[in-house]
Amino acid sequence: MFKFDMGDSSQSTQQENKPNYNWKDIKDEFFDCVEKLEVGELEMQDIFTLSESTSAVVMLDKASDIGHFEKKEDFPLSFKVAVETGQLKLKDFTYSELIGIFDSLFACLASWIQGTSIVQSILTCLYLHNTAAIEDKYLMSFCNGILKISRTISNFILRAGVYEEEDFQSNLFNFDLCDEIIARKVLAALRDSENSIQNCLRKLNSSDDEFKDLTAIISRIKYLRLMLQCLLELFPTRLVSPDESKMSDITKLLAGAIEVFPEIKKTIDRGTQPDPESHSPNPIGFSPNVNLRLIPPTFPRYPRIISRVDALNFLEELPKNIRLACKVIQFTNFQSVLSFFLEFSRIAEPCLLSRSVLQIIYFPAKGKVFGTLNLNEILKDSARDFIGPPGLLPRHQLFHDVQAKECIDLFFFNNGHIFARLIEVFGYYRSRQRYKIEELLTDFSNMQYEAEQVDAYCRKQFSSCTSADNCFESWSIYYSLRAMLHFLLLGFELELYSICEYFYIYWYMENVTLSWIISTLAQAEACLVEQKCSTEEFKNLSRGQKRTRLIKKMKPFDREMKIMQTLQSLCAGFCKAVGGFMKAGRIPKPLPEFDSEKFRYEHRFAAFVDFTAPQMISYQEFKENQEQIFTAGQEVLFLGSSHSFSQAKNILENLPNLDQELTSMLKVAKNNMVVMKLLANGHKKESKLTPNFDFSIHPCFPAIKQL
Amino acid sequence: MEEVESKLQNVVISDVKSNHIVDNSHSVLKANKEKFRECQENGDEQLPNGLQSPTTHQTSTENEGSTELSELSSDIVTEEKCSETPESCETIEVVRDNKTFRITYKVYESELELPSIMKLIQKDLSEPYSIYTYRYFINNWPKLCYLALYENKCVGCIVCKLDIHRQITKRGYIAMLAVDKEFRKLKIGTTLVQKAIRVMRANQADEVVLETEITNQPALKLYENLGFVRDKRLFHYYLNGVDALRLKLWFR
Repeated sequence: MFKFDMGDSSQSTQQENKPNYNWKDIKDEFFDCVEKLEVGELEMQDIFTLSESTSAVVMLDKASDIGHFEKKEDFPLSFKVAVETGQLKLKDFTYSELIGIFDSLFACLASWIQGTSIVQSILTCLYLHNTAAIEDKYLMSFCNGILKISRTISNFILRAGVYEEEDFQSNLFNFDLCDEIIARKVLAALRDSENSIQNCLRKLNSSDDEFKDLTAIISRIKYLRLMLQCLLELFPTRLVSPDESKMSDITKLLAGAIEVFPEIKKTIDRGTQPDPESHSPNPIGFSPNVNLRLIPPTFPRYPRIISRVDALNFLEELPKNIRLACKVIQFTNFQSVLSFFLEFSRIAEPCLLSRSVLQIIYFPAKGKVFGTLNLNEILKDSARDFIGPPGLLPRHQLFHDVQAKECIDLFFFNNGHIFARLIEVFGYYRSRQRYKIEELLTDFSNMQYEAEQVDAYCRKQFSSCTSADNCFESWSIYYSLRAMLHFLLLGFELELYSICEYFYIYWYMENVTLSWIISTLAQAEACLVEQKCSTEEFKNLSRGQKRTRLIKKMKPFDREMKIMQTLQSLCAGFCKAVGGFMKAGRIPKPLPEFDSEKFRYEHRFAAFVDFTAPQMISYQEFKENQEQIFTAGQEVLFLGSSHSFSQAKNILENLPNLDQELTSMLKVAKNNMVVMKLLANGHKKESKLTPNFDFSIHPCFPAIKQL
Repeated sequence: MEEVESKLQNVVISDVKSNHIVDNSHSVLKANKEKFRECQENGDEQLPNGLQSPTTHQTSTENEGSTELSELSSDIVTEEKCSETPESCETIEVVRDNKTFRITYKVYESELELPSIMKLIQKDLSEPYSIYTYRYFINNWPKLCYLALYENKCVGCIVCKLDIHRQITKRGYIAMLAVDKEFRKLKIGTTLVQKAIRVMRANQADEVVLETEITNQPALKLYENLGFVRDKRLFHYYLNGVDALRLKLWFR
């Protein structure tokens, strides 16, 4: 009906030419023709199909039509036009203006890492479209630094690939992210700005406003330089991660970035602040819609740029998380590596960049840990350290059997990728981890089957009467169980289980998953002890105290077993507590018309169906078990629950070096022990109110509070 | 432009003769459906408004169980006609604050009802669906669309579909549920959901799913009370940062 020229959508001018109008009013003619259509009928042509008609219907609708702007300031403004019309200055910035631009760029950077498209965040800053034209040295160096760090960050994130479409917008739309200027020069320019500011600061009094402003500016430039340098050095050169000495240098850079941050946070108010009525993150320098034509029309019109405070909190954690990630090079034992990744995933959860960095440090090249070690060899070491299969012990006959060696090598060759994927799973956001683990569990069940075959073959080749008969199977079961446990616990963390499901979830963890983990660890430990005792050096030790002391020391899984026992006691406590509440009619049940506990149970544990060890417990068997538990009265159940929480408390109190998570569990155990004891004594006996399960202390084990 | 759009919509619903409309709708629908299928094969951007990938959708504001249309179906669109309608019209009396309300529940019958459905849903949800989106669901699965009427005014509605997911599972999907603010706490949402699910189950559905924001407590309560559980957490489902939950009810 009419044509409106928006100009081209590339990095250069949007409004080079003034719009050309070519109106022709065809309203009457149109409605005349429309009269001939029946209701619901659509006139289609090659150039006007259903797709076009749905767009036509929403034209000028403020939410759907991306060419329609309500306010003048929302209209896209290119760098060129902004400069020509005097809306964008290139020099003579006040310190407040500089701080404002820097902070809004930080906010855009954080928003981009958290999922907003780069063209709706960082690249809405017009200064970044033509940094060479900026006449202020500090701003120019900072802008080039931001572009360079964006390129480096995207390299990490894209390479690690531990994200999905909704987590991170990977399209960079071919923008020039300072790719023409080498990193060394960008860093040098930043350092140059810092030195220049340092010279000014020397001449000023620390109580001067100017001193405070310049300190604010220098700390931001320094943070950017240190982070940029650190990321550049962390990125693997020739597919090999930095060695220990280089890591030490990188850690020093990170320490510098952490040190300078409080000054940045302190001076957040010294910059120009965004107008709350406007969509722009800063009064000057930004045009939120400048890249609108690049993105699909389905993207939100005005993207969410996180607040400066939130952005700075995010960027403050970044060097800390990366410093922690660097520690992974100290671990070669795979069991420890897995625990490290699990823990890191919990700590660095909100930051895709940190998690990507860790992935790249560990696997700079596929299958090569740190770029130098073969994953399969590490897994073999892990099996040897875990349970000492004869086939992996150099002093054992089986180790020298060529066919056995081939069989074992093939096993690791076929299944190594499962562990690589498991490590990768921990790089994703927590909510994605759960269904990725679910997919991986099928592979684990296949691996178990293969492990059984390897064990059978080894037994045939060298019949042994030690307890090391099912070594590879035990090792496979252990890692399958770790994955299963994480899968079940994540369900709590992600708030997936309804209160009417607590009983069977805790029951399953207590009686199946954790019970098996503990017995597998015990068996593995027994094997290792037995092997140690059979060595010559041990036999030469005198009997009595020396030997006993040594046996006591040889408990490699002592701490882990105690933690698993704690978890088991907690689950037992919850199981009995919820059981007691169910008997008291205090747990709401869904309406019976559509609800089926059987189907819920079976679907919740569907991922375990293919396993032979542990075999999935059928609903019927579970029900029989539940009936047995429910023969006890509610007070007996509450008392039993209190004892279980007390057991958990005792184990934790005797465990040295409790981390934050274990400390929370202890708090929960103490609380629940008391509450359940009260209930066992008949407190609030007649109440029918649903108890309050408070997950704020620990996301999987709530503090039970009565209403 | 608003004038034009409203004229368009008026043109669309004027001159209604019910049977005639149904016949025409079908032939038109066939064209639409071919188009939708074609759109799906071509990828996201070709699709009409509202059927694109979930990241585009905004959240619904507080309500008793309004859900957002969000699932991009990668399945074959079947011409499913629900063969049974256990209750196509039923009146229920509910008391709230000592006042009795007679709510009539009926299954969708004609295009005449479409404007009131659209008005109700648009009031509650911020996402602007075009008329084609409503037609996609309501014309293909009219027996899964129920209205709640109070004194002949539409105060609640539910819009669903039922088709084959991943070539194996027959999956019911609740696309939209809205209840007028003045008529909350009358079990209208629950009743509408129950009616729709009964039809799905009668048509051999294996499961029913929907998505809702994790912060939408009233919706979560409504569905969990019926036996739905939270199957998956969808991180950043809504681009304003709010996670969603996929709720599921299994029939087998």
